Amino acid sequence: MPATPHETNDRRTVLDHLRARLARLEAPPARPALPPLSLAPAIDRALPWRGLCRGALHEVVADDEGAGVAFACLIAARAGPSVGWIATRPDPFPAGLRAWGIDPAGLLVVRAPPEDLLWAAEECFRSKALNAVLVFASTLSLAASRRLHLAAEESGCTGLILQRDVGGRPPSAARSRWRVSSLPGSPGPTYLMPAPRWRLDLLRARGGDPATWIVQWNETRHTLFVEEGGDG
Amino acid sequence: MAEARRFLALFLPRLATDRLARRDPTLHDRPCATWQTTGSARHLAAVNAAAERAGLSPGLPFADALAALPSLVALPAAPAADAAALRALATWASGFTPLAAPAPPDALLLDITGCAHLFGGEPGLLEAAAGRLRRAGFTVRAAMADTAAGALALARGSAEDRIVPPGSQAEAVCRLPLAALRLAPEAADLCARLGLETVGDLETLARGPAARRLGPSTLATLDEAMGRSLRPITPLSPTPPARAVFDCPDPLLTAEAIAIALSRLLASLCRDLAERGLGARRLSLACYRSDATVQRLGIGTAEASRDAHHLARLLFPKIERIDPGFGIERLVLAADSVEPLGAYQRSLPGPGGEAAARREALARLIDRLRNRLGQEAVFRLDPFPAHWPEGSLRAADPASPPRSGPWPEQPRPLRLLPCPQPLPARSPLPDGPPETIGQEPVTRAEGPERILPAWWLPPAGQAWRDYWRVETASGRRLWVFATGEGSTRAWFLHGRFG
Repeated sequence: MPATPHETNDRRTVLDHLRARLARLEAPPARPALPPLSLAPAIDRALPWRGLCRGALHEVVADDEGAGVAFACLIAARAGPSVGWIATRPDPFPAGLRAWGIDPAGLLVVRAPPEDLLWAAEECFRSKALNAVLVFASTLSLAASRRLHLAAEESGCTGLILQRDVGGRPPSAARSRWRVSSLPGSPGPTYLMPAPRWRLDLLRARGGDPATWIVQWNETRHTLFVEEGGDG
Repeated sequence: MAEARRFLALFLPRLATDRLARRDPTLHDRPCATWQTTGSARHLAAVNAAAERAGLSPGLPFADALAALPSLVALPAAPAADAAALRALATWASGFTPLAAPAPPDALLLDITGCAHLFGGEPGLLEAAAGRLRRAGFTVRAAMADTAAGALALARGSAEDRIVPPGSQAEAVCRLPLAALRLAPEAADLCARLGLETVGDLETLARGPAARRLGPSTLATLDEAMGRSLRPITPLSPTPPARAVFDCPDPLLTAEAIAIALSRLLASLCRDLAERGLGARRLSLACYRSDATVQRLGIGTAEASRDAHHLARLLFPKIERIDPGFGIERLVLAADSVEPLGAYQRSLPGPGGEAAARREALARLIDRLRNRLGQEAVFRLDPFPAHWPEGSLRAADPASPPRSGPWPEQPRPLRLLPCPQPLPARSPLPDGPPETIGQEPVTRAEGPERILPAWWLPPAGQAWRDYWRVETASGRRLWVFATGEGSTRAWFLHGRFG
């Protein structure tokens, strides 16, 4: 029978023993680690998870009601085929979502009144039915974000909270916070629409540093092209 | 051999006045009666016990009754309300057996075959049913016998509750006064003239040569009461495919207590469903209160389920809506609609098992969301052949097989305004793109893509739309359209690109 820590007089041994025990207690249940979501090589390198981590909450703030949603959609599409869209007045247009990689057949739309919005979000995060969920929330408290993050962590669902860019946001348990601002497209004839072009600000990332990129979306190859920013 | 059937009849001789006294308890001790108009005269229709003690009886002219008893509380008779009350009582009685039916105008019939042992035998069941009705304020006489008509005659013809042992019904019915059979008035008159007093007298006569004078309906009534011919009762609601019953030792008053009882019921119902290879699509919970009323709630599921945990998550949030009143004595959980549900392996490895688990998880998620947000709040968007973009979507049940659509191949926005919004845009050319939107210059514009109204719609007010994809100086990418010509040309915002 091994000696219990109480029988030894060595403080260090006792502490090591307790630390090991704590680590065992605190360790999440063994689960195959989910591969991170790749955005673009230059962005992935700057993120602490070498990509965007799944099974977590991420925040996307934007002034433009199109660009922020598009960025969230392209993340969701990379998480898997089943995507949830929760809003008080949901307005997705499947014909256009396909350009961002989302299959309309796998899109679950939920219309929830403001008071039930976060409840519905938690239900969707917790269920193992959806790979990613877009939540159009006006406010999110620290407690609520923690709860949502835990639900997402448990099921492996990637939660995306979309908010208007008002600045001075309260702290949140989300793993990352992004700001998406639309930019005029690259020069070209005025009678043709350019490819979508944004300024992506990584405002906050747990275990990483803020960064900024200028990116362009390639609609035919469904890839983000980094024009400048980051370390690339 | 089929099990011998047993029936319980509950006769409510004062249903009309009891119903009034339940609404207004002060009527209990005061003489009270209802009246109805026959021709031009008003007569008493029903009287309560106090009024009867004072010498009043149904059929007495209203004016005479008031003269004899000026303190009489008289209300107009309401046969429809009485019938509704009887139906409500039959619903309550279906807590004892699913085969419960009203026997208008004033009795309930329960097929209690195989139910009595749940109440410690037939005396226990009779006491439970009649006792609860009495405590709820009804005058009741109960009788148990082998046929429905026999039990009914015994209840109507006896002075007190009685249980007639199997096989001796004919003998007991013979001793009843003839009035217990409720014969048609002409037949009753004839019997009176013939000097018949008991059912036994009628029985003797019916075997003899005078039988034809009584008419076929009288003989049929007699045969039913004697147990020679059977008439099945028509229960209020069809027997559910599966049900579980919980009798509360003490009346339940709190939501917590109801929740505990409900989880037991769910476990037992789901076990039953599993044994029979079924899953529930609709569940209803009936709470039988001590005042002889019923509270109900129900849920539906997107896919057949017999997972007690899942069903509990759907039912529990609704418990708060139950008003337990003075206590709930009995809970009945019924699967009203079931579907075959095979045994599935929960953690089957491989893509097939994972897809099945995901499908199941989705069905449960939909159930939970719909249970709270409403049926219409959870949907998938399927394509629909329509000209206008706002009509090209249909909300579809997310559990239904997806329709891989003919979505348009042209570039489309990812968000669509459900209703196009007027836009302060200006365009220098009569059919060109907008030059500015509000104060903001438009830097790029691609189009137009002309969308015509459906040809089968009336032409009035339905001009074509010229859609443009535009980018403003700040980089916003919008889907806008112009409609009308010349001075009536107006711009609308219809969608947003990424």
